[in-house]
Amino acid sequence: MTGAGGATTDVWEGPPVGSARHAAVVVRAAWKSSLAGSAEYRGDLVVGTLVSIVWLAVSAVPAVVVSLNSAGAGGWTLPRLMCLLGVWYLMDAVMWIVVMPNVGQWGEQVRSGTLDGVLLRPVHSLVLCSFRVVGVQDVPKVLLALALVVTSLVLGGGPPSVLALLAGAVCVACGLVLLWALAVLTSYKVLSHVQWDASFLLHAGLNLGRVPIPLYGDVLRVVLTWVVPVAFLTTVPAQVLFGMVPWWTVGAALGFAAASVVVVVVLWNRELRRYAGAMG
Amino acid sequence: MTPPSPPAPLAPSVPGPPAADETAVRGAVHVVRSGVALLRAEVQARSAYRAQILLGSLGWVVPLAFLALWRDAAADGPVGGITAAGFTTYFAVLLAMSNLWLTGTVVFATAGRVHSGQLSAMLLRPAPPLLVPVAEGLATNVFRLPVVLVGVPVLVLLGGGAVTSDPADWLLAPAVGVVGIVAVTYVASLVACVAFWMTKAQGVMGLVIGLEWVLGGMVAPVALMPGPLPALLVHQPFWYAGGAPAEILAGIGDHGPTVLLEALAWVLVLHLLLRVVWRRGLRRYEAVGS
Repeated sequence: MTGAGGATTDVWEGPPVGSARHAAVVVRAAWKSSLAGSAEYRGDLVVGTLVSIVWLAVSAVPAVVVSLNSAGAGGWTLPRLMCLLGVWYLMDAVMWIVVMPNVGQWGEQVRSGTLDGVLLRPVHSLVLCSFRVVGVQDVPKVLLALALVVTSLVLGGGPPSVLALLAGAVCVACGLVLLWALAVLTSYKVLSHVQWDASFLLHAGLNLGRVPIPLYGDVLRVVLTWVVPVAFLTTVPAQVLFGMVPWWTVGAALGFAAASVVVVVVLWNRELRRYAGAMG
Repeated sequence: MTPPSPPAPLAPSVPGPPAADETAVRGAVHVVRSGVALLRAEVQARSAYRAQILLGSLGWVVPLAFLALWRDAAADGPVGGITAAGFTTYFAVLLAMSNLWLTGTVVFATAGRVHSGQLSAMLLRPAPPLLVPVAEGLATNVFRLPVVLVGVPVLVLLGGGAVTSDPADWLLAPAVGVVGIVAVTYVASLVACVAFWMTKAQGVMGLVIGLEWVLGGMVAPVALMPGPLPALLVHQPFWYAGGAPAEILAGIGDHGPTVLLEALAWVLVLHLLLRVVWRRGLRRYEAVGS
């Protein structure tokens, strides 16, 4: 477009600024930028893929050794444990692809003042602060995790019905939402308390999900299912895929996911009003 | 007014450093003194964040997850001769030992400094640069230790764990554990040296943590591994730093003082190997800078 003085000006012709589609366009552009940046270290990317395979093998050792030495802990046979491991690995992948490169950097961004620049952009701050950067090195983990889930389902007799498969997929999606919500809840206070760091709770929650939650005993099972819903990250999706739990569990997963989004958005907006910047 | 006297010529009047001063910044005594001074400084720096470090150690739950898995597997009877009570003590001790490992700090801090070029300034100091991440890790351990010393007995008691009643085992286990941690720290330093050849190698660095989990007995007691692995894995540093003290205190297997001697031999060999690798790596150092 040519202005009155003959100068060329850029006009935004994409989705309306502030809309969800606009946010998606901005996030996609940011991801392309991350991909271009990581292309500088292609060797590290290849090594990272190999390391991801080794880590998956490391994570599988306990389940394999348990099944070699016993009939299976608490009815969790090897395919079921492997399915749970696949779901856990998917959560771990998303943790390092999306959560840590974004939420994990809030403290440093607040201290250095770079968060100010992010907050000024015309996209909802929580979206931009949560999904702007992508850790490309860990992307192969997603494929490995999905391959493990599919293999374990085939070996373990598969889901009892197509509906169970769909319900399992819904529960995995709910688990991803809960993971993001847990990450935000453990970190959003850094906006007003510069040295805040409760990320150990997030790591603890995810690590507790490495094994089926019912194995922790009655008290911890209730706590980790209904108080801090760690069970919905890994155990419930695996249980739903194998038809081990009643259908209302899927509704509970959806309810937890929806409630966590509402709580996170409300708390983020409230904390943002207290943000004063802390440029070092 | 008295005119200022001209400054004395510097060069002729400055005496050359005496031979004794040259040796004062070399040798084992100097390294120990530097290490102690660094440790003191790091402890003071971390005292401001002691609550955070303390809470962080509570967040390390991986051994607890594997404890739950193994206890349930042993609910109907011993697995490979290990009872549920034995698993409780084993993983409780591993929880303590893994809280004190320095591997992550040494590997990632050193590799990061090689990549960022911070190592350049450290090389100018009259102390081995690898002492810095070790001091950082030990300083963190100073604040983790109280949690470990209180938390582990509580876990053993609440979980119904069984511990050895042989006093010799109570002396052997911590000794093997400490020497094992020293040996694994040497391994971590060797892995960190990869950064001299590969400018950015976080992926490779992460492998050492995976090795620590499997070879150290974190995921399962090495005695339960298949085939010839149990006989092989009890002769390497990662097991001395984790599985060995856990097995000794849980009364799993029969371990004597030869374990300690083996661990000491490993420290000696790894020390000599690190001297060679570090010198060769330094020749490749390019100080990329961030």
